[in-house]
Amino acid sequence: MTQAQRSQLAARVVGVYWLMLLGGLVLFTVARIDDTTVVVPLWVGAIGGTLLGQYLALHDLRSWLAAVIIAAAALYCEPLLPLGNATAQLWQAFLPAALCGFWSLGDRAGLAATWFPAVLWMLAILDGNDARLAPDGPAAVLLGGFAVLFVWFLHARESRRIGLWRSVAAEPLAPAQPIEVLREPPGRQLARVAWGVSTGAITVAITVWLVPPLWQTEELVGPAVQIDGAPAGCVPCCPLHPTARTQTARIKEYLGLGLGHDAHPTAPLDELACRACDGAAAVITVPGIAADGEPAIAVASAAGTGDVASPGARDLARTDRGSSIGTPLAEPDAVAPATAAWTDPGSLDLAGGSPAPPAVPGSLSWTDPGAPIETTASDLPPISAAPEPPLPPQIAPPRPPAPPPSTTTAAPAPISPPAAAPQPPQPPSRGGTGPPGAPHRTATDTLGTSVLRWLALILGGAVVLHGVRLALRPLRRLVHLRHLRRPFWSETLDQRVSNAWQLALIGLRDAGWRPGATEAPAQLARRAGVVGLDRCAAILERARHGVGLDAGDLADMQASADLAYGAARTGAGRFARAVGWLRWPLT
Amino acid sequence: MPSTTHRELRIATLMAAPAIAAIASLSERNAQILHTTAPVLGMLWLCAAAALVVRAVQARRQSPADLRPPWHPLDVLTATGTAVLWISATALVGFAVTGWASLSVLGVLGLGAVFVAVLWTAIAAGGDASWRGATIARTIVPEISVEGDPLREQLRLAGIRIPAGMRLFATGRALPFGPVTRYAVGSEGSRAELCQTSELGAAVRGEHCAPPLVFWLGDVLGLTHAPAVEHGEARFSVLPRPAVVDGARAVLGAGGDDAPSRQTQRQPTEGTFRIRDYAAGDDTRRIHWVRSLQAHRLVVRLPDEIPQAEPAVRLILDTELWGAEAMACRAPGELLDALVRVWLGVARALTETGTRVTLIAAAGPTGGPAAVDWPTAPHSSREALRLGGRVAWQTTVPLGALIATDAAPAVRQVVVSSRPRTLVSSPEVAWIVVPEAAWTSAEPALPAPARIRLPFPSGSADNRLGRRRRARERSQEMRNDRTIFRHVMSCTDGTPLAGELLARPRRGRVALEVIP
Repeated sequence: MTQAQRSQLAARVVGVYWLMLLGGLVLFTVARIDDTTVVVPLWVGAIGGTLLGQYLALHDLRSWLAAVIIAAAALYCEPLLPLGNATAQLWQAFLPAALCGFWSLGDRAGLAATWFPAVLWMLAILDGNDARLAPDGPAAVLLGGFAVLFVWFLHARESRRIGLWRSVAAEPLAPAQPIEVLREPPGRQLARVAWGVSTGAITVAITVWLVPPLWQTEELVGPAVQIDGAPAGCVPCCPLHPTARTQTARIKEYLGLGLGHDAHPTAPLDELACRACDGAAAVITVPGIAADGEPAIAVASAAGTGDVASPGARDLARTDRGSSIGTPLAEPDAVAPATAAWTDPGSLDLAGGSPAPPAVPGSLSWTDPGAPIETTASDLPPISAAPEPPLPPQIAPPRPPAPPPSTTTAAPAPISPPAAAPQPPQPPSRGGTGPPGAPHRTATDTLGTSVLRWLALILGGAVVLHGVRLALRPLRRLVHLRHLRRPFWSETLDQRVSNAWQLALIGLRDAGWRPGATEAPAQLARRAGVVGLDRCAAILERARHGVGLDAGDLADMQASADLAYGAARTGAGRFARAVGWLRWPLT
Repeated sequence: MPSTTHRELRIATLMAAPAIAAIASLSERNAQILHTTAPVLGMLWLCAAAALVVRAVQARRQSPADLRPPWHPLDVLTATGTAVLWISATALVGFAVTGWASLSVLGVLGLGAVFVAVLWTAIAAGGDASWRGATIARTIVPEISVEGDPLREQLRLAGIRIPAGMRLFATGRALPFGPVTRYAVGSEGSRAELCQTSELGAAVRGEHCAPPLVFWLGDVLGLTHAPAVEHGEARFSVLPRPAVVDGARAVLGAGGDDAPSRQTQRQPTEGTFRIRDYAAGDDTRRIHWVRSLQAHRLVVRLPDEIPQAEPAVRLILDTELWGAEAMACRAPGELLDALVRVWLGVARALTETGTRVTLIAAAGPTGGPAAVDWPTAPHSSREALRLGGRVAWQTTVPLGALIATDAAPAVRQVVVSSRPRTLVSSPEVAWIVVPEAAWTSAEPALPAPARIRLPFPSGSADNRLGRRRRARERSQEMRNDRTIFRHVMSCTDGTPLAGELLARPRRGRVALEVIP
């Protein structure tokens, strides 16, 4: 077996595998385009590992040696890549990518080889999924797409295995010549297409329907939100309302890069003893809903009295939309100032319930939910000295937006708490609290429908193009037949005899007859037994042997060819005739 | 065709792997699993298992005399399918431990794919529907050939139903140590008329009956296969190619039996040729025109080379050897082919010198002795060649039975053998010894242990440890048998061989040399 033959057999498997791999990487990149610290190491690790693994497989190295080389490569290169925190993600991607790349060209590990591409696809699928255990539109489409690629990959691997089976063995193999089709029933292509479509549909259905119920969630520590509860008096300045950390959840995956979903509060934060601070500024966090439907947290910063904000307040101040868990958060004084402010007396009970918003320091100001709001509380309620036992977590009910004060510079957006509505019962989750560094899913993190729209556009375009090509085939056939019968330009006598023979062959092919590679025309005529074909064969052989032909022979040839064409098609049946109009090449 | 060594294990995989996966997954006590995933996969498994059982019962009813175990039709998983099923189960177990969603995708995809493939294989490719009305014609061309000619195997298939999503596979071996032929046809060949050709290489002497090819259907994902059937037995003959023998005259002894016909001395006045009157039927090219003019009648020349009395030789082929057919090595066949080539080559060489040769071998139609006179006319030795083609190692006719005890004294009896030995109560015979060491090739070396690199391209099924072990065992058995065969052929009972002839290959010919 030559190297060229080996490469030809492996090319399709490698191509499909890289399609799966790059597809997963691209989808993940689209979802997390702004997070280069995650995306770049993932690309480097995945591509580098896959290249190494497939290189080792194509050089026929044994599994143990390949594992040693992959591990050695990781150990050797690790200090050479100063990527900081990204190093762990790079090697987390590199090692399985190399192993799966190696297995992709192995004998029986095809399913195991698809694990790493599946991980990449699942990152994008889970990030783009709005519901937890039931993939919605884009996620379902991607899951189905991965299932189709998986079937395609298995098919490509089996084709390669058969190629190897026919070429390589411990015993000597007889070199086989290509299959010679002498007669074929019409419409087999349609059956194959139907089977392919059915298989793809079943696989997609199984995957989209049966896989998600198995998924397990893991809970993550999310941002802090304000909850209802009696204000607890304490020695330091106390917040108006106790706060609680939220918990988000995500589907567990090997690469812990998934985004959190469905934030909900957990137990209140363990506040330190604090005291009431008259006229002091308090840092208050107000949950809200951004215009795009994502939860937003309004943050007030402590100011004015010089009292030290409680840890809870600091936590509140750190609660910033879009900040990544696990990365250093901005200090309270780093919070951007409010651009619009108004008072919410209903919830905060400031200034004696007066709806008039003090647009001065000490008043509560609301901002655009998408940005932190700096609020100064001038009249905080009395706070008891000893903290009360924490109440069960409860999110403050949504507050309707009050009319903006006249002093505000812009109208505030309607605000509603993100997790104020009762949480639907979640399926039992395993794996308790996850790593606190998981980022929360925001609107920009979701896999944009634009990508899917583009994909659908490309797919639809390909289908339309194929349909147009199919639709043009009858026209192409008509033109071709017309030329064979009456050439559009002047041709020699021998060429016209050959044209007539081609016409007869087209009719034969419609009926399923195909000439053998070494079969003489007379032999084909005897085998097919179609009326007029023997006469065609006789004249053609005379032309091939240089025996002189005249116009009478040409007329005879054309008449016989027409007769054979019609007779062959007549015996083929309606279905075969219809399929014949769509076939290309014609012979 | 997949090996049947681990058939029971593959059948057990169909039940064990899904059971393990179910135990691992259902321990989650997840209501959604219990209401969607588990019932659907369970139904798929049940449908596949039921279809397999129905096919097994059907097969048992159709062929009650089948000696294979009743669960044989349940063996539908290929090695790849078995691996996919176990990897799926492992993925689901791993998912239960780690909770990684990608493992659940792998597990469900693998289980679902295998169950659907098994179901489709049992429904579409089970039973004999695919072979009903099919025509399978296998021919080895040319049907009658001469040793060393290139052979081709032609397989014509017509009317075989290959369901969509399946492939037709066929494999077999036409010659005992010849190349293996392997064919694969996609579903585009369903009910079609196909012709496939394979080059078998040089023909090996013998009357061959090629065992039938093994056919089976497998799905295009390589997960399952249908039960195999056998079709296409083929018969063909390969005639021996007589060797060109140098020194065959030595068979006739010192002086030679044709000495009386030679004119050893000729005086200057003596004519070159003996002459006689022309008789009707004489070749006109032999007319001696000068003498005819002198004698006024037609006179023809007589060639001196034709002896007055042709010597006769009974050339006997010794094919008596116990256990040769059971040997796994190639040496017995190669040695027998060499014996036949020398046997026929000596016969032809002797005939060309004017000796009447009778070929004797234990290759009659019923296995008994057969005697064929080598014709003097060239190109008419087909009967002798057919006799040579039929020759095989045998134990039914001892060598002594081939030696004529009542032969005329002028008839020499020469035995072509690899094992010259003393024959009890038999007249004196001459021996042409064909030494085993000179006429057989070495057996292939043992497969080298490939610890660093795979012996075959990555992805080839022949890299599997089981196949490598079987190949090594097969090779080892060949070498062991070769050792035994060499010992058997080199055994001697002390028969003096001085003066006998030794046949040795020399530049593509056979040289007969006298053993000093």
